[in-house]
Amino acid sequence: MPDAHRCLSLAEIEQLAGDATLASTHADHLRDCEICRGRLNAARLDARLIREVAAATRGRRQRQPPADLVPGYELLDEIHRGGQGIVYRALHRETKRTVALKLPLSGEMQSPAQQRRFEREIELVAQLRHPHIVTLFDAGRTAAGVPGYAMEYIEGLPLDRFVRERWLAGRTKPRDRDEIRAIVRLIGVIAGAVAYAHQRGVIHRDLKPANILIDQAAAPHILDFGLGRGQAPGQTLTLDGEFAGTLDYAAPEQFSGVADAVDLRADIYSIGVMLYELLSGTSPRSREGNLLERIQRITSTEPPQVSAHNGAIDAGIEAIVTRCLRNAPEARYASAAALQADLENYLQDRPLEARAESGWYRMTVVARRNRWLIASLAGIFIFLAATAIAMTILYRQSELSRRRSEESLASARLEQARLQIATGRIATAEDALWSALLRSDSPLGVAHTDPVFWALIELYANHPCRRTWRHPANPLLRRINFDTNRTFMAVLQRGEFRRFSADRDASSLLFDAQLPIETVFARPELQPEVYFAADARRFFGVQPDAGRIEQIGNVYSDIARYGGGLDLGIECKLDGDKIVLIPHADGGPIAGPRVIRIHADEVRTTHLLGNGWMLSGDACGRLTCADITRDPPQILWERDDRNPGEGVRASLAADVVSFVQWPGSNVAFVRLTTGELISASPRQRVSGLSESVLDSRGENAFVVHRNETGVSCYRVADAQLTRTLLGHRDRLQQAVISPDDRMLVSGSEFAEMKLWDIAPDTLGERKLRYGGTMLSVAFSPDGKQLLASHDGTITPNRAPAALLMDVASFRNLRTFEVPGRSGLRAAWTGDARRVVGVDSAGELNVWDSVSGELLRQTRGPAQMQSIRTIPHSDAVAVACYDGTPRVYHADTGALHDLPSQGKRVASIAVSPDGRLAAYCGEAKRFTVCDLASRSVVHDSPPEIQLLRSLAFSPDGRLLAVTGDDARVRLYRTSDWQVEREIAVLQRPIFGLAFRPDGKVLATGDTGGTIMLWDLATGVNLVRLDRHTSPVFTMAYSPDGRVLASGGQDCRLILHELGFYEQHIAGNLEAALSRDSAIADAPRAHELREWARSVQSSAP
Amino acid sequence: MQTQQPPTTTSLLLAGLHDSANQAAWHEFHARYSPVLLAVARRLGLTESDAADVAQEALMCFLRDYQAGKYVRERGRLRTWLSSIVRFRVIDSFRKKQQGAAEVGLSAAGDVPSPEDMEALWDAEARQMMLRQALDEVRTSSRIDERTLRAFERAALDDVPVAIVAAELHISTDDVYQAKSRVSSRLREVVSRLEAVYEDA
Repeated sequence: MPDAHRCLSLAEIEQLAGDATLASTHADHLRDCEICRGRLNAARLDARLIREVAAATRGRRQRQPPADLVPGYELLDEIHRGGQGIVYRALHRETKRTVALKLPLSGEMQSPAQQRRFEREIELVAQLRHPHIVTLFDAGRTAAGVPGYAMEYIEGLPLDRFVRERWLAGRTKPRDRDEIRAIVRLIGVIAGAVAYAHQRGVIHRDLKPANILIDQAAAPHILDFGLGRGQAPGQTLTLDGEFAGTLDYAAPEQFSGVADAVDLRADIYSIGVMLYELLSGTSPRSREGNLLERIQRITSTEPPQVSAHNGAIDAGIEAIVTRCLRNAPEARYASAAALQADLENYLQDRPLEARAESGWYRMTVVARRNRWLIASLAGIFIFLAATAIAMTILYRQSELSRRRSEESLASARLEQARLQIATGRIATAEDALWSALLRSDSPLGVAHTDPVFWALIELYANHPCRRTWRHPANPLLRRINFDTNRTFMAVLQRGEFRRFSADRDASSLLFDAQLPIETVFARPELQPEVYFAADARRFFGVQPDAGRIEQIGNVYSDIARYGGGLDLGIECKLDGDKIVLIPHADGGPIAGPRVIRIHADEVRTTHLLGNGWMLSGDACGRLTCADITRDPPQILWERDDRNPGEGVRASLAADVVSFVQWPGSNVAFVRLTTGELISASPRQRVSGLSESVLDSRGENAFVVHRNETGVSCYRVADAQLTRTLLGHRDRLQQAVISPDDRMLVSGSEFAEMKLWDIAPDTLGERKLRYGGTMLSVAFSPDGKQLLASHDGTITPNRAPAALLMDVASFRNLRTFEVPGRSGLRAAWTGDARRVVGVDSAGELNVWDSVSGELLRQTRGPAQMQSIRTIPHSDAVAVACYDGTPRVYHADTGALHDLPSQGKRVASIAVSPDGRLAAYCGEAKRFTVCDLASRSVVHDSPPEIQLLRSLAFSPDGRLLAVTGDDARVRLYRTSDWQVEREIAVLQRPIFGLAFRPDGKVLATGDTGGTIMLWDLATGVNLVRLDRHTSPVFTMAYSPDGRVLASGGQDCRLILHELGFYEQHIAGNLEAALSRDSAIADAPRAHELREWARSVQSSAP
Repeated sequence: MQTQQPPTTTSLLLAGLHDSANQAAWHEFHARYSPVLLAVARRLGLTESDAADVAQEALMCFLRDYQAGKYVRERGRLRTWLSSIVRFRVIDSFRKKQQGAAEVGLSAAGDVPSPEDMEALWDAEARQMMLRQALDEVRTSSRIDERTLRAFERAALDDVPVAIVAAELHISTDDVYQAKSRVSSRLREVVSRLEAVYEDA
């Protein structure tokens, strides 16, 4: 309830003036206060005047709607507003990626030098790619010139809140060893990420809990890396209130006012403060006193020991914290990597570096004690010592960078290219990746693990371009037209008629009219061989195949300048509110010239259809469909869309009209026959519509927006933007689709042509949307069949079932059903003769895999969660919720217990030789047992978070374990030590699958993302975003070319990993033509050979 | 620094036009009415160059008739007189165009609005001109700084949310409200002064 005695603020007055419905909220005060009443009345008058002035001056002012505050992004909502700026959640329009967009308030640059430095810094930061550093996607300036940047959007809690709320149950400090270790481990991860950035020359300068978000998998994400420059504490002291928050984490040297005095060791100090706070629940420095007193305290004293605040703190961690918080930078850890190593030493109970203070620090302590002596020697000794140390550091750095340089340069470029793929800068990424591929000597194909090759797979999987053609002379493109399903004609402004084939790199010049063609169109239903073309004055019929051209008449209006068109051989001339139609070719819907006046305002756009209907739009937003074969024209329907002036296109076959509505700048679809609205996209700020084409069923529209380089694909039913085909370098002129709807050709204004796969079944994946949540998938040993289980659906009512699918045809061969059960998961027995299903009621069902007959039902003790084949046997291994996994023999129905974990077991895996079973779950550890003796072979120490899934490598040498901490640890089965750790994902992983050759591991996470990892290097090869919700199960086909995945989105997807080899092969010649230095090299020869073999093996 | 002379009222201006030597009055008259004439001609569907011709012709025609004593203020308002001159000029222009189009056998002449519609059109355009002039005057007056003006334009005229304007200009949201309120009241002052000046145009 508002305070009735308080006078209203300006903001409140404004709101009241703008919205009459709010008046009641301040009614009491307004009744009593004459002044506020007067202010409100004045504000209302002002509002009216402002509306009038805004309308009168609209055309003269450049409009910058808020959505265009940052070009290319649509602001969704405000996430955070603080002293340093505003953070918005925003949508990157081309890629539909949600990002966090930050507009720093204090980022105002004074000098060009500072500005350059900021930009250089941004460039460096943009190259950081680390799972625990928030990726910077883009940086630039807003329309108003304010610098801003777009970064990865993370849902998470600030470090301090996360630890307090999630780990300490609301307490401010840890109570026992486990809690302390969890905090230390988390800080270790943070230190590792900071070390990564330091090694690349980026210092954070403003590390604090608010800048570290922890996601649901307990993975930290550091924000605002390197963006703290210019915000050194000394410069922001005047903003007392704002500064108080970060004062706590600033290192003493940051108050020196000398920017150069601040180096990476300031970040170490900040990490130390955070660790101190998390362990003690209090800040290392008292917050009492004014700002100057506090700074005085920070720079001149050292904080009390952390154990003074928390008795549970042991001496080891205390030494680490103390080492971080030394006032003298040289007394702290020399690097974040050293800090991370020491935290790891602590966790492993190894000796700490922190206990042995550094030699340099001891020397300075000695020096301080013997100040008089030193003073006399200062000139020589200090200089020598300082020089020696500086030289050592320099030497180490150069040595390190020399060793890293070649390898890391290549990987930095690769990371950059993949970042560009993610942010829609496809043409740039394509160039960089091809350049690297043409120069490498790695073996080609998805059977190998060349990260460059896989990055290209990722690129084409998102933007499936089959082939690219470029004209050496860059002529303007006028029109593209499909002749058959595989060939199309392109007409160029210089008069060339060229035919292209989807299967060839070379195009053939059919006819050169040697005319500057302004407009061209075909009328295949009337005269299939003939193209109609016009230059500025004359009108021609062209038969490119026969090489004939004939002038038919003259053109009366300058169509290119004044709008209108030449549809159907009829010249449409716009004359104010009239449309003048002048037919030039025979056989059209009207015989002689006609003047049509069906609009009350200036006509802006016309579109004639083959059946004699005409769509026209005027300046006041009326869209009309009229039958012009009647005289006077019969108006079929009219709509008021405010302004459909930005291109109206229609498809007779699909019965759909597409256009862009203003204001709102959104794409809309209307029924051609009735004029009723089918759908309209949300406000998108697209810049008009220059061409659109619909598939023959009218389900999808492919739109070329004015001034854009990508083809936007919309679903007509709901106007959803389903994908954007990117890769062109220039603005697009036109897009057309093949008669069978399988291919799309797009042409840029300079006649770069790209052929795209658009049919859903050609996108290298086959999807089944049959049942409910997919719970298990497994290939038969010969790879010809796939067993997939789903959880059933309510509407239509389908019982949970296991489906036996034929992989080649992707058809369902047999269904194994258990009515009335849920959570069905299925596996083959080791001999593949039987299929065993388990469910959440704990029932085990055995079917004959050939006849489908139900052979046996056994009542198990508890809900069954996971089932795996035991090779060379009639048995399967099953994970149970009562904590005891079991072995089940399909032939006898016998059920044997394996050693219990005491808590729910979520997943079980069996080694390839059938000797070992490994299982994990809520006990947060994994157990390995011998299946013959049913005795424990290895019991891991508990992890912090739940373990979800595990898998043995095909050679049995490694066991992959993963869970809610979003990391995969690969344990050697010989000694159960971690050989490699993959820690890159934000989300818990449920799906794990090794490629049969053991070189690649596939992971599927709760966000629906599938990633493939090179096990030799730990490098991420490819990221496939095909599922929309958690992936629960994955399996590789025995030949390693197909990956099956299923999950909560009820989809079973077969990813044909080699499919996009076609696209790489198809784009090879275009890449070679761009890169002439390599065109004749042996590598080019090798690539051509490979491309030929790929294309000849295409189905 | 440009200083704003208080514009002369319509009556004073008309009085000044009687004197052929009074260049200042003619300039003022031209500056005040040619934009309105142009806008009206454009609204009637003339191209930019045709509209400019029509506006010029109409003004010359008015001056000639006025000095010849054909216009008596008490018998008709200035806008009625001017708009009827424009109307005839526009019809003339259409007629000329129609002759050119006759070759292809097409009619290009449109209907010209009735005299009453012409007056309404004139009023709307004149009001817009006046508001633009008012905004220009507020913009060039020395009393308001650049940032305040910019905040007003973004928040009030472009209808951008206050929070975003604040972020763009590095000022607080309160500053934006202040700017909006200050500039609005200044605009109100200027508009009421100009309304008085353009009395009965």
